Amino acid sequence: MAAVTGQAATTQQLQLEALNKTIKLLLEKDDTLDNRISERGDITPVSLRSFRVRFQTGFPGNVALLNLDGGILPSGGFSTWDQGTITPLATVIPVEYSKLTDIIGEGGPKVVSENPVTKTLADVAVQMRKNRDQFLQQAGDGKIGQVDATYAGGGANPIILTSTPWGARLISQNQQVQVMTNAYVLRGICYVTNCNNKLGSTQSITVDVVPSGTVAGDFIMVAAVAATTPVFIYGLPYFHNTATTGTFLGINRTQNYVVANGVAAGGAPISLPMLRAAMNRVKQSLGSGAVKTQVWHTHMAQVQAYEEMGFAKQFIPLQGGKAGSLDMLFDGKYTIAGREVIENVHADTTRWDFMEFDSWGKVTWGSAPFWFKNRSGQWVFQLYDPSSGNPTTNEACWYVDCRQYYVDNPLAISSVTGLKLPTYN
Amino acid sequence: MHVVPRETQRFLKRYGGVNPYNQPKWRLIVSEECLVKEAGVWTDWAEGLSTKEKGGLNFAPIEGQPGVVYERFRNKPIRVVTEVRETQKYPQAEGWILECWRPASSYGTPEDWYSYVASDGITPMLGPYPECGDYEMQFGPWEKLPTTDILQTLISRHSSSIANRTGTPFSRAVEYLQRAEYAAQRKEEKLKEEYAAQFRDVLSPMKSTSLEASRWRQELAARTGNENQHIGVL
Repeated sequence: MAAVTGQAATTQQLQLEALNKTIKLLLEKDDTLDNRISERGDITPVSLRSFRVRFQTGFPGNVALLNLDGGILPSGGFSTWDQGTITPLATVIPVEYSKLTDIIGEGGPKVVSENPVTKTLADVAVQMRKNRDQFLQQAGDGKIGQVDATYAGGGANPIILTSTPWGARLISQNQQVQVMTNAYVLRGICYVTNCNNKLGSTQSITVDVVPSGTVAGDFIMVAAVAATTPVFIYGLPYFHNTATTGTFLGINRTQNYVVANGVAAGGAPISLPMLRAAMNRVKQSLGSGAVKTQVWHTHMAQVQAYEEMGFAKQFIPLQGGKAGSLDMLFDGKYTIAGREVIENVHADTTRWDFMEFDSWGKVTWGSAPFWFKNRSGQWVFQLYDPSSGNPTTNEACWYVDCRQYYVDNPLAISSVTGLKLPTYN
Repeated sequence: MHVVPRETQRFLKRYGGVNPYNQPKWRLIVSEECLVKEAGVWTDWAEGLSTKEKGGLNFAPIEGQPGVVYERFRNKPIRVVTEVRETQKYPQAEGWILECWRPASSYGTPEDWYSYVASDGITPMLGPYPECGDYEMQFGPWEKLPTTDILQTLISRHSSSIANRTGTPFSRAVEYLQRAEYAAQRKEEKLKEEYAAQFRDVLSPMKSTSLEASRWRQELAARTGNENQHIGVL
């Protein structure tokens, strides 16, 4: 009899569809977008069975005049249902180091200023948090950059990226990425050896080997995301979306209750009427009571564009009564008309999002993020030489996160999109 | 209706100045009483419904079924009507606010203004164009009426921040973005240091002063037959 390996997929009969137990993430302290969503508190861990979202889209609505004197009864109607699904997606950051690095690190202050292994392992938690914030900016397909029209092709390195919506700001040095055509056909995989994402400069990535055929318009994608119909973590552009084509958590966007509010700027610079119109759409959909707690999320280039309109900055003093000062520029909370503005260096530089964090939630597997462990609790693994089968002097460990986001009422959110990028960026 | 004391009104006009229509440039008002006319397609819901109950998704577990199954709230709007309404301009703020007058040019041209239409694609949703300009919230909200000292400080700060701008929009933007990047970098470094400290604590229970490490050392001592001894930091 062939050996059977215990896999999650073969034990689904034992799994519940979801558990509504709340798991707090202890390491998330910062006020980034990701953390603001995490602060909402409720995380729903689920098993391999998808997190189902069912929607009733209609009641038996067919009504007609009936001729009881020999007439024909009409065809029957029935309630109609839509059902969407959410499945957490796992992302992983691998760490690998040699025995010598470990030994030197353990040598203490006389040998090294800090144990590089310990430091790297700690940095991974910061990197994962940053990754989540970056992933929240993409549209749920794993696209984190696009090759610019000025890119010459022919294997030229670095690869020039379009300055909007994110430039190279969603990409990190040493990250593995995929290059795909704009129809999501895989061209190849490469490692980013250098990343020029400085604001205001030409956005580019230098890679170890430029995948063959890379040309202007190609997509830079998260590693291991499937080609053709890629599905990744759903970010802001997925939910803050006025499109009536495509799907929202599996529900067709022709259903108006899954279409978010929004204003298309059409390439114009940010203006007061745009912000007011974006908010009014929510107010008209749900009433004044539904627009009390939203905040604005945007890139600081857009905030600066707003400032140039002649509106002075407003700050909420820090807790503890610390008063505002010039140094508070990025320590205090920036507000527009008393509404907080979250400035995010990873954000799309051409949009403002009117966010309602109470409407955001997430599903996850287990108490993510976590260090990958086996049943015996081991989380640092020996690496083996594939040709001889002998162990090497290298060890590895993996930091895993599993989550997917959802919004429970798209009518409570809004956005201003397609804004002009200020000329100085 | 809250009334601003005459002295405060005089102060605002004298210190903050007047607009071309001889009206004070700065205005104190209670946010809840600041209303604007807005046209559009209004969807009215029953009182007491939460945001997600207004046509959103119900994420509550269903009895008798394993795990959690979710479905759409079945609440329907009471009515949907196209009309002009007076609504709160700042529903997010409660209390006294200080507004600053803006000229009509701050709101674009009338054509721009009326181009923002409601969900029916026809009705201009922003109400009448502010031909004489309008007031926008600049500071607040406060629970109590701010004193003239506070008003003076805020108006002074606002005016000087605009009047004393240096350089070009380009140079200001570069400085702003550089400071933002620097702040983000500092924040990341601080977090890394915190995490590294936490990690060292976890990895070195023999050398840690944390309660958890102390428990671990005590458990180790018990296993080696020294349960009556306290094992301190090694």
